[in-house]
Amino acid sequence: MRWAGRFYRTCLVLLPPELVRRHGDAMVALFEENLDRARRRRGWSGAGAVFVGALVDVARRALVERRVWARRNIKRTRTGGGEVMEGLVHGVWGAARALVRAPRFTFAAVATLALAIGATTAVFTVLDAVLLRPLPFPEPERVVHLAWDRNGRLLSHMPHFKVAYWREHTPALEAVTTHATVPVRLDDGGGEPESVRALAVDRGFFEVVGVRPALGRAPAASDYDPGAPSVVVLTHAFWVERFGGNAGVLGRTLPVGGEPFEIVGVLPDSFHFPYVQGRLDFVVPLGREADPQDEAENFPALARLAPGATVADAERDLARAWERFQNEHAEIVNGTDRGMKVASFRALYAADVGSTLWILFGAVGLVLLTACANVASLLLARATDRRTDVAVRVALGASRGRIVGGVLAESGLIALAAAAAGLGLAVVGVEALLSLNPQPLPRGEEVGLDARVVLFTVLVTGATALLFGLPAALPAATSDGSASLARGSRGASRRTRGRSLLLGAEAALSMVLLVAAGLLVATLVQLRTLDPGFDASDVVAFRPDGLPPEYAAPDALAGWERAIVEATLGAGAVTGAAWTSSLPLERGWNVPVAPEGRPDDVVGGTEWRAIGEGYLDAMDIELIQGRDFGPGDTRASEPVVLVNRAFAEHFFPGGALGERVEIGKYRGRVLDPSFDVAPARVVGVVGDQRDISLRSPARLTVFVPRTQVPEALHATGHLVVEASAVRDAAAAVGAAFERAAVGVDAPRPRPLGDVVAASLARERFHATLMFSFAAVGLVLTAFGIYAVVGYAVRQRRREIGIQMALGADRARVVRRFTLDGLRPVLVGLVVGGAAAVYLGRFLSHLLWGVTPGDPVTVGAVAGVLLAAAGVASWLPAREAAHASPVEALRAE
Amino acid sequence: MGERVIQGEFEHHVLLAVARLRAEAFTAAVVLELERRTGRAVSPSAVYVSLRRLEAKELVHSDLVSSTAPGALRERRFFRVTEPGLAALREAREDLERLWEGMDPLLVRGDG
Repeated sequence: MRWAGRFYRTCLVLLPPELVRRHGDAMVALFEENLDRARRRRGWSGAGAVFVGALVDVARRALVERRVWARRNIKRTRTGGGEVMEGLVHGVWGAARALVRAPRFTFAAVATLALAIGATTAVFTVLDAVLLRPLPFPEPERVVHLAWDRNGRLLSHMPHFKVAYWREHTPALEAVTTHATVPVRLDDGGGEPESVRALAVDRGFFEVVGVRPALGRAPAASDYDPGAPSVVVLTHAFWVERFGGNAGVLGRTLPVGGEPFEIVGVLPDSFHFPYVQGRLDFVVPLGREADPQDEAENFPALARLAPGATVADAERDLARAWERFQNEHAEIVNGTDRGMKVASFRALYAADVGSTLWILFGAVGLVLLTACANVASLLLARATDRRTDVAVRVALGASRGRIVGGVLAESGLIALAAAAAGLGLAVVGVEALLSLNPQPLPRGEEVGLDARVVLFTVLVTGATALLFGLPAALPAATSDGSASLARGSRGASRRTRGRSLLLGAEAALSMVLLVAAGLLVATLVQLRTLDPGFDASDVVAFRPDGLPPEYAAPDALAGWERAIVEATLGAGAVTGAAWTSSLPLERGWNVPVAPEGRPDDVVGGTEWRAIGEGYLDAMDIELIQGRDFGPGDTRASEPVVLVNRAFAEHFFPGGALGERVEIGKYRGRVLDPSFDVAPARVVGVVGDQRDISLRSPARLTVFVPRTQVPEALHATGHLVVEASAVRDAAAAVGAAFERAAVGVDAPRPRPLGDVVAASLARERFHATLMFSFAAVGLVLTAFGIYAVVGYAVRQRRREIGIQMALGADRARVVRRFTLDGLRPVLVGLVVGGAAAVYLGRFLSHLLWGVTPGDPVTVGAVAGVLLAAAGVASWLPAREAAHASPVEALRAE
Repeated sequence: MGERVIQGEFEHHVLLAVARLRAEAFTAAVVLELERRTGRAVSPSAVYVSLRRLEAKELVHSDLVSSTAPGALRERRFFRVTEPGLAALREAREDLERLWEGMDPLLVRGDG
């Protein structure tokens, strides 16, 4: 229970300090004694009641004492400038009472703002973790990323030997390192091997990230040499889980991939590596030789600036090193390479998601502004209701400053309550954002509410309170007492103008949000309806999970695949089946391909796919010229290929049939011995298919028969089956696998439509979020219009009653009030539409098939907004026109 | 220092409780004594505030006393009523008695 006493003592800070100094200890002792007695007599429920009662007692006493103190002290120190302050202090108490007495208004205002503040805080939480927060290393400003400049594009990954080269030739960098995540198995020979995740690191890693093992040592320089005895440094979590946090773990061995690795150290619990998502179990030296022949671009370069060195110094060293590299390794320098640059984490790892996050932040900011305008409108209406009260107070000598302070106190309390609720909503909002996001976020594991986010919320709350409080406070500041009383309801024109301005602002903000949402939805629709070059309907994909070693040989695999296809086709409901190395819209292999005799025309990143006989039919891919693969295309027969239209037009504009291509050779150098075969003959040209994404046009693509796959690219593929129902395809494949009896379970079906839908996950995410924000904005605006028009109708009920009693046309009355509500909306529409077209350019990288200023989208959105505004204006107007004239005349 | 007058019924009760407890009038005991005598729960913070006000008006005086008793605070603040405090209590009682004069029949019959 000591924690309860400590908590109670913390709450005592609400009381006047002098009281706490004199009696704090005694109060805590009495509290603990009462708590203990209640727990003994009535159990934990009794103790809980005492706990809550004591806290409520302190809070109530604090409110009373602070008010008494304020009354005493402010009276003594009143100056001209202190009037608003005095009004604020007095106003807080009065505002709290006034808000409690108007629960519907208070709930509407707090709920509106809480939603907007919650959404803003949620987006900021993600934005801060991914883009703004410094890297979790000591002196993070000295940690830099080295990027490879290829034709103006910055690439984060490069061959290992290049990382080693920059390490040797850049004195401005005190350490340069690289890393790779490696899934490994812990296998001690008995029992089931355990899958774990290792981080393989190069020399300099521990210096760059600035971490020392909490136990033992980091790998020494010699541990990184290829062939050195294997050592491992455990992460804290793995050490606790597997070794119970035992300090005697040093010197023991870990069976990594069946080999004994000596445990030399344990990392501290605080170690976090933001470049890797998910769990890491231990760190091992990369143990890789720097080989100029090894051109696999798989290694990112991370470095730490030397003491006193700047980024400019590092870039100068890198430029000099690049000059030297070009002289020493001219044979591997690509014409498009331009050397090395120093880049930020954001530029290399978060460029795409960064721009999306900023757009979302802007959108949610617009929602917040709309909410502020809405609440300002409500407060203005409320201030109008109390104008008589204000005028009387001014006439009796109350200072305007005090009245303004009171109004600001009300908006401050509303904002505070909204901020508290908003923080709670933000927790839910962050979870929703992370789960909806289709791709893992860089530094996603660091996303969470912390002091920075709370500070942001406090600042936003303060700004929000001023934004919506000032429009309501100004009329109070300019009230002229008895003259205002004399004017009565006839003096409302300025307030009406103010409310109209706010309504127009809301409409403009809503228009911007709606246009953005409309454009993103249009993009999604365009992508979903475009022809990807294949027919995904009625096609189901299956991927076997690892075949036994006897099928490792290409011939054995090809024979097995043929048997599976035949067995699957035997089922009546299946109309097509074939194998493929990779599915459309999922990354396949890229290999260099060049026409025979033209090695300099090589395209390094040609799409390569290995397909079986019947693939074109099953996928409904157009065969433009020539033939499909057939039974005669075997490993022993002539190498053949199919190419897509883009490939044919690029290399053979005069016709591709019969031409020959070299696959897997880069300017005379063969990537792997298995590619050292005769050039392949083009036997057919097929239609283009979207391969990487629906957005990107088809890349140059070659298709080889499954029977002619080179050893280097030999792997289990995907079986695609055409059937009218998924269960028919699954049943046929299940039966085929059972008949094949290779001890592999039938794989789970994956409709190709799902693969296509998954490729649009990012677009769906953008459209869903923006649509949600726009919907909230529209609802707030419609609600605002309804409230304002309804208020205007109530204010002029007497006038309406007189008109109706004198025989005025009901429809005319309705029309007049409806148009009154629509006028500011129309202005807002025009202003918002122009702003939306201007701001649309920031969205252009997210759009496809639609321009930022698309007139159809803008027009449709304006129609929706106008319709919503029309209904929101018409409803209260209609209600007024249909009320009894007698009742209307009685009302005042 | 405020005027040496008891303000309000609660302050009156707190001063009476301190007077009743004589040498045992430490802060927690005053709270318990009030609860025992009135039969109602008493806000501890209200008692502490009243004691502070009474001390500011010099109607009570307090001393911080060290204690070695097991389970007790190392230091406790003990209150005693001062002469002006006793005078204020007498005056308050006399005022009440004058106001209550002749009120017994009302309490028995409930006549207005």
